[in-house]
Amino acid sequence: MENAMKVVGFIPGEILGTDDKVPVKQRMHDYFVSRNEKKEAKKFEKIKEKLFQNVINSNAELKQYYQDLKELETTSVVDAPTDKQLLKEKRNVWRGAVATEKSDRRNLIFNMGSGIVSGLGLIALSTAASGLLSIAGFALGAASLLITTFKYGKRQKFNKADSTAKGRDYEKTLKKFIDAVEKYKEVIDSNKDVIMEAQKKMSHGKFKKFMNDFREDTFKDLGLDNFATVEVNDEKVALPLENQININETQNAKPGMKEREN
Amino acid sequence: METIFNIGDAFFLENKIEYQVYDKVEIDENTYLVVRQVPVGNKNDFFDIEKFPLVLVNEKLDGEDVMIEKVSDEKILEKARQMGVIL
Repeated sequence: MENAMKVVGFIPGEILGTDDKVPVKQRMHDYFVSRNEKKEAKKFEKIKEKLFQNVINSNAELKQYYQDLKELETTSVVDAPTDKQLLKEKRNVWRGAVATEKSDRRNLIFNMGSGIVSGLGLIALSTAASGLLSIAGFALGAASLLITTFKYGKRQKFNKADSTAKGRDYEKTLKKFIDAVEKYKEVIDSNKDVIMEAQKKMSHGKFKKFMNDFREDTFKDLGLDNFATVEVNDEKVALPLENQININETQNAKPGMKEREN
Repeated sequence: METIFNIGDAFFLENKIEYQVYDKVEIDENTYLVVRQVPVGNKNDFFDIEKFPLVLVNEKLDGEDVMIEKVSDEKILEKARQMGVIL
């Protein structure tokens, strides 16, 4: 050992263990191999997420579906629900939202009425009592009206013209989208080796192009680029063009990836 | 005195050679590490760990870097030999 050399790698004793049957060198090797594998897996996950986000962000409707999908995923933490359960959950959310909307309308009318009445009442009282109280009465009435309108407005924005017909169509679309997304993930996974090899060998620019091509090809294969916007109940709803999502054809790793890599 | 490395820890230096900490020893109010080069070997190989002697080293910080320095002070080495931590 040379005098004063820099330590460039370290494995804590707790991780290395004290298994005398396995030489330290081997244990160190195993540790680094496992660490590298984890690193590589993490790197792949990042690439995968980037590929995935590229697809999602390329289309506003897809982005919306994906956000809804994510929302559903985060609400079901305990057991991974089936697509059917997810959709059922989504449907219940819609039903709840429609019910809340109706109730909000009732509340709005009631609160507007009560606000005006309380305002007028306070005016009457305040006229008898003092001018100051009159202003307070007006303020209270106006505040009540404002708060209700604000709350209602927010809710309206959130439930943006939901309807049962639209809900059903949206459900269908979401189901197709879920299938396509799952398939897309499978395509990325099945090409893991090719992607990682390309990442290692290619320059940043080349790899970026490679990823773009991969995205576009897969996107096309899955029919994810063929979502169209149609009118349902006077509302614009994104729907996939029928027969465009032919997800069964993409079971295996995409051909031609090896060639592109070279 | 506290040290960065503890008994059982392994580390490797710029020259790619790996070491494992076998012991810690206090001499003249300084704490030294007793390390041994990690022998090459895998599950199926036999190896002779004694080929690699225990070495007394001193660890120190140089900015963000951890440096390992072989103790060359004969007085300290002699004390370590007397204590039986190195040959």
